[in-house]
Amino acid sequence: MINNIYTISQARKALDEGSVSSLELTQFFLRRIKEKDPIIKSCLLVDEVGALAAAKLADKRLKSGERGPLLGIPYLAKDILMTKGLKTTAASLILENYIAPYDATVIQKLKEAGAVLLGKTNLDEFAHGSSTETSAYQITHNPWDLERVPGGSSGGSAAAVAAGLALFALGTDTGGSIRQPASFCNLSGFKPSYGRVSRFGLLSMTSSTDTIGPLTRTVEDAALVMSVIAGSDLKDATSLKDNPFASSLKLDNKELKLKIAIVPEFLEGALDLRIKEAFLETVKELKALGHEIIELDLKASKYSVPAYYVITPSEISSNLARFDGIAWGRRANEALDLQSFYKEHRGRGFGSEVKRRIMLGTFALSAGYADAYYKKAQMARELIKEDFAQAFSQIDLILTPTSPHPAFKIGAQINDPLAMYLEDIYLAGASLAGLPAMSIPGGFVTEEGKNLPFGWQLIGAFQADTLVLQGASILEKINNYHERQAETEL
Amino acid sequence: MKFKEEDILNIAELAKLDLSQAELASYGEQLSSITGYIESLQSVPETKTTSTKQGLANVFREDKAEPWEIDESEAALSQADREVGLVKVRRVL
Repeated sequence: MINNIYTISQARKALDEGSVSSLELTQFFLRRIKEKDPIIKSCLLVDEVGALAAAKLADKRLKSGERGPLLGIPYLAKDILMTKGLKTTAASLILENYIAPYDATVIQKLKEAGAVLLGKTNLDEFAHGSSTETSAYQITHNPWDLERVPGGSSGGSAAAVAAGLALFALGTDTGGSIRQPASFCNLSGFKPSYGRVSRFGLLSMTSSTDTIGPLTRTVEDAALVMSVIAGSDLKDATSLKDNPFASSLKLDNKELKLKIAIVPEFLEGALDLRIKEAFLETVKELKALGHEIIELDLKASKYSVPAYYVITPSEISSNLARFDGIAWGRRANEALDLQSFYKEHRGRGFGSEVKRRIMLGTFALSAGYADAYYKKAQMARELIKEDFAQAFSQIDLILTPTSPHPAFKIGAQINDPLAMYLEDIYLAGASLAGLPAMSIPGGFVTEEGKNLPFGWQLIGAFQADTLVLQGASILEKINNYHERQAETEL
Repeated sequence: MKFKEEDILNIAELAKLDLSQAELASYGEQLSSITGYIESLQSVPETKTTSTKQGLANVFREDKAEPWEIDESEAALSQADREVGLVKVRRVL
């Protein structure tokens, strides 16, 4: 019975009928983590005691007749979200022994909804990366091919869900960190509009683009998670007022005919030809279903990665200044004066990619260069936003590949930071403009006898989160690739 | 922009970071190649940079202190060097 539960909605049904308890479900996933995670290495922490206690509590609530979308559902959270009483490391040595004194708002909301936190997942250190290889602790393996990366920075979350270690996982997306791993692991990954989910308790990377969202097996599951975690928060000054997911969202609407734009420029250059072919096939299918497809010229999109890699390091250099080693963080430091204490602490605590970004941001904001880099990047950002705003006055959604290629091999790009930054080529635009976007399974290519998934991205207008999910639901059902499991690999 | 070793050391000083030998050796070339790539931003036409996100408004709350439980503040400062309840730092001057 439990072996056939892959999605939240299947588990929801079983829990509500009473054919399975949250405790049984939780024990099942804890066992799977024990069995499979020594191979996948997706979790940095497993909280067995806390999870079992939360499951028993959820069972009590279920027995008393209470119902809720995530009541009793086991999940994992990216280890950059604060969890009271549990270690929160951001996969960095600088927070090796840091225990969060409070819960992030999302964690708090999930707790109140009765979801069961199983543990915390691996990520690129401070979410700086696209492969989860910059984690100070471990390399996570892609369940579809263990020699390959799961993507990043929410790679632990993606690998865990793809390996069936939890029913969903929270990720964060600053420039593609939910969407790219979703495409590498055959999952749905939703990046909500900026402000849709409270950032309170998320260790800041790029405050102006950071978002929190779910990695799930289906679009329907993503909507269920969003219904709990979206909404305004007095502790986040940029949070949006309403929660459009609150009332039960009708995902499958046969009447809904969409006007979808594709960007011809995105189909040239680096894109894998097999993915391009599948993309054009999908466009045909959408037309056959009665949706209108138009071609769109996003003139400023060529600036999106360059602007992103000025704005992001700039905000990082400022946000990570707080890791000074005074009140918390790694200690052991022989420096006698404060300045050398800082330098030693940060030099030893941060990994090479984090330091590289802090350096880049410090440079981009330094006197004499801020106008040439930071200010220009902000101008480019305005152009990108205008481009999108204009497009969305005439269309509903934009469809693109999520990544130009399937998952790459572990180690293949680690010494080439620029190549790693170009992973965000289709993704950074929506982040800079604060738009909702989702990656859903798009198909498979075969490499060395292994099936490697890739994904499609749908981008919507600012605040049109539910329309993105509705479009994704249509797209998902064309080939039902989401039903394929990676388990044969394990 | 081509970064020489002294440029890298200067930025590291501003960013308060000790660098390893390997980082010092590789950052110059890497930062040069990254800034070479972002050089394309120089062709961005002059526009206003007033970044007003559509639909977002300031969120205010009452300025009311919420006292932490003792164990919460203890947890927050658990790794600090402390004396008589105060956090100790190295000498400044």
